[in-house]
Amino acid sequence: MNQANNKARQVNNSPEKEDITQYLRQAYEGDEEAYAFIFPVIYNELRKIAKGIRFNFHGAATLNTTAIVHEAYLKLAKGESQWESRKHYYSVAAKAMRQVLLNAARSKKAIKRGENIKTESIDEVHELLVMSDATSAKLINFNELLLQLEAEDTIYGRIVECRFFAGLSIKETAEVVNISPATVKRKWQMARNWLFVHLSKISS
Amino acid sequence: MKEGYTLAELEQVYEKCLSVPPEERDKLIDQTCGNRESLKTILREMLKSEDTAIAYFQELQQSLAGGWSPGEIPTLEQGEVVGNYRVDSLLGKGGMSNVYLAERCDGEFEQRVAIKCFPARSVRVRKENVKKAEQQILAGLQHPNIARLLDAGITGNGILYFIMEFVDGEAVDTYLKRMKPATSGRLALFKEVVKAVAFAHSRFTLHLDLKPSNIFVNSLGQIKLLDFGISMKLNEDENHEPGTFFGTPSIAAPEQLAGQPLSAATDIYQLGILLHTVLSGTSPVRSYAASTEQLTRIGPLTDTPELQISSAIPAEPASIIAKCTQANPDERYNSAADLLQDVKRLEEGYPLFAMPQSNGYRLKKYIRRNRLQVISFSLIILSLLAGLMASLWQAREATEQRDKAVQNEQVATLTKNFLSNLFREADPSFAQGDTLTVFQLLEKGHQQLSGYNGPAAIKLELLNTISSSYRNMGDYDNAGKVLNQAENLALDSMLTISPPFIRNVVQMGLYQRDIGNYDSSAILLNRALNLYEKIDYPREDSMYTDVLKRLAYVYKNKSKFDSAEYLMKETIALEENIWPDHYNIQLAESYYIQAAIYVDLKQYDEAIIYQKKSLDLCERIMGSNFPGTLANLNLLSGLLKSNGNAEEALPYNRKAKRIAENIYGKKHAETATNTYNLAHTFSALDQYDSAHFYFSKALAIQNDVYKDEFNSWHISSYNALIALFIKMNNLDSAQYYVNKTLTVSESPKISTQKRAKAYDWAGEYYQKAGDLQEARNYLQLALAEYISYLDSTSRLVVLTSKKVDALDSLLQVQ
Repeated sequence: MNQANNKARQVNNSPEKEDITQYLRQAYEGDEEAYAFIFPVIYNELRKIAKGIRFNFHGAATLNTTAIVHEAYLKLAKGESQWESRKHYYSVAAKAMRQVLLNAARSKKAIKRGENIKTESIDEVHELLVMSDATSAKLINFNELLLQLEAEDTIYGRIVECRFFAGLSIKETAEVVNISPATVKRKWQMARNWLFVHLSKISS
Repeated sequence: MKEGYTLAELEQVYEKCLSVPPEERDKLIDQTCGNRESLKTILREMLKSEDTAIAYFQELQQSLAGGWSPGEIPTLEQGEVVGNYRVDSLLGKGGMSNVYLAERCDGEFEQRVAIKCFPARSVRVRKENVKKAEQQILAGLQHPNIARLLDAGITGNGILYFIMEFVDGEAVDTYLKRMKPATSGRLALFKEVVKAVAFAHSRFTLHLDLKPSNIFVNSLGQIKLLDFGISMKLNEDENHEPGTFFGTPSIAAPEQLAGQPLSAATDIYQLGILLHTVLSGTSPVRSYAASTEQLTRIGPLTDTPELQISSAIPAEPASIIAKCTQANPDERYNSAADLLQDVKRLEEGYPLFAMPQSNGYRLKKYIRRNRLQVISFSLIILSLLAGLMASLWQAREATEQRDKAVQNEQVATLTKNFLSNLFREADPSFAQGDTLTVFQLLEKGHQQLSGYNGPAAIKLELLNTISSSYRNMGDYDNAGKVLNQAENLALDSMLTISPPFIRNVVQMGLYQRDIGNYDSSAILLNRALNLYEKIDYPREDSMYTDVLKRLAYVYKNKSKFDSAEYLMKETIALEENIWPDHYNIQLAESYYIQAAIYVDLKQYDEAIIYQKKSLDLCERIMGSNFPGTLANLNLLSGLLKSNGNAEEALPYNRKAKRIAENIYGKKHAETATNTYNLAHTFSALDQYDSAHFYFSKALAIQNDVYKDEFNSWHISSYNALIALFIKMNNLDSAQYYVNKTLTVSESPKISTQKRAKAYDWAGEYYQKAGDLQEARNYLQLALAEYISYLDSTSRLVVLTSKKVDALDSLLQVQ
């Protein structure tokens, strides 16, 4: 166990900023133990923020995944704005975001819909991470297809996570995944359109 | 992959396809893939759906964190009763709301309304918030261009509803497409929107969703803003979390996308987008997709929606749009009222605040404005000429009506052509190649006139115009030359008594005034007035009152204040008859002059009355952010202060400072002066902390504006601070500024007056500090400076020598 981990234990699993950045760096560099520790921390933070979302008035964009990922970073890293640290963070958070959404979609599928919401209980409504039926279904299919791509090369999954779930730019994705922007662009275009073609077949 | 191709393979061919023009792709696929049908199929499908795929994923991405799929928008049934209204039919579907037409069903009176309904769980609505919304609706926005919000609530089924005034009309974009109005009409429409928004802002209500579909034009062609305050009411949650987004992404301001606090500036941003849409029919938002994708990244200023202003929009409206849509809310217009002001200035051809203030730009505006002025001026002349010629001809032999008509029309055409061609050439937007300067333009006009064979009256009028332009630009030599020529022409052509001739006399009078020869000026202007009377020219005409006003000002300069006051009284009485609603900027000028004359007469109460009149009128006509308004505010506050009413002066000073900031920016000498004035008023009110705060602020601006402290503004600030610290009994700080003011005062750049003041305050300080010898030395120096430019009987000299004497006797006692 390294030093950072020990220190984190002492403060009862609520790691300090320095620890977080250290864990992130270690996880980025391939330390599986650090990854195992930091993933749930980020996952929980993302989930917490996602649950707190107030829905957008007009139904289009709201506090979207990009913003959630970003906000979680602000909370966790408390002002640490070095791109190096953010890069480490994104490489974990992109996957965590995917997981949060997928779990929400799965639980949504399990919930029986059509309940009337009474005025009195409005306050509690937003405690649920609500996702529309259509979106949950799309997301589950999306994930299935993405798994197919990943079966051939995991890089597709990482790129899609960065671009789609964390909302990173081509350039940022390239840094996080550690390949050239041109490659990211090519692989992202390919994956996106391949996914779309297959998704539209499923839904039709 | 089980489909007969590897992803690496697909990726490669796909990229190749994207790199060639669409029409060549099929061929490329056939060449590269041979008979591998599954690979060919997927390639074709992927290529076909390139655009749809992007949109699909963007939408999916947005819906992930809580979008509503269309199926979950609540619906109301026909006949269902919501509030006091019975639902009739569906009016439209929004992103997550439906809008229904409904009618009042309690038999009170017939009223059609629109009900907009949302899923209640779409927003964190608390009961007390709904209550609050209701209260606010009662005190709601009452404005002819804002659709009224009548009621709001939540139904038993959890549907959140808003009941609004029903507007029978169409969305502004549809309206514009159908009517295709000219730019002026489009601007007029936009102005109505801005006015309504400004009104709502004054009632602390934001719109936050000013998209074309929320801006209706009713059957009468009136603008009606829909959904006013709905976004905001939903946004009013005291637990408002950072990062919450309300609104429409395609028009959302960066701060909305970034979940930062929203303000009036947010509406201004959207108004900028709207102006673009109204003028060009297209949105400047290049891809809000890019912006939603990049939503809320670190460094909000670099991650703002990408806008591109259409090249079809001219530079000036484009600059307004650009100013509205600045990423940083602080850099947009300060208020909707300011935006309105600039739109008005655009219409009237004044320089915009939004434009970079280059000389070239100002020159262009000057010409444009003057071209209009000159042309309309010439039209006035024409109508007068027509009348004059008729009477001249009547006095002579009778001429055929037909001939007169022909001749008048010729005169009209000639003058108009001459002037408009001349100014058209000078306007950079018409001219080819190099832009003419105004001087070149005048010279050219003057040259062209020498070969002009039109009627003498018109030639004279044109010479008058050219001379006055030279004079207004400070070129008195040329102004005088042209006037001489005009006078000779008038004499040669026997045009002795005619309006053009009288105006020539006026011009000569103004020329004499401008070269400082007030006696000749008064004689000439009086002569012009007599001539006007001789030809029975109407006194209730601004051309006549203008001469009266100028003469009054000459009398003021000659210190004949009583005559000046008398003439101004007459001027004002006539002008108030010319413009019965008193709504004219020339009248504001008259009040302004009259106030200045009363100051000279030391009748401060009267002066205050007229200054207030001028201020009020100036502000109503030209708005707050107008140099004339600022000048009025400054004079008025100064008057009130010297009349011992600093308390009343204070709000005017505050306003003046704000306006100076609006007009000139935060770092400008004018702003420094107004800040200084405000501090001075605080000092007069013995509010030392505020005085200190603003004096320091003024000083800080001066430090930014001037490259060093060796100027009279700095020395004034230092002296003011010394005075203040002496009052506050803070001698250490006073001493600090005494040292500064003495250092600066030694510079040759400092005027004697300011140097005298610096010594004077140093003397005051040393006296207060108990160093009487030093105090005497500085007061003696001050006295020497005062004597160098003042009469030995003047107040300052007498006062200072008394102080020196007093110190002498004190020192002797010691």
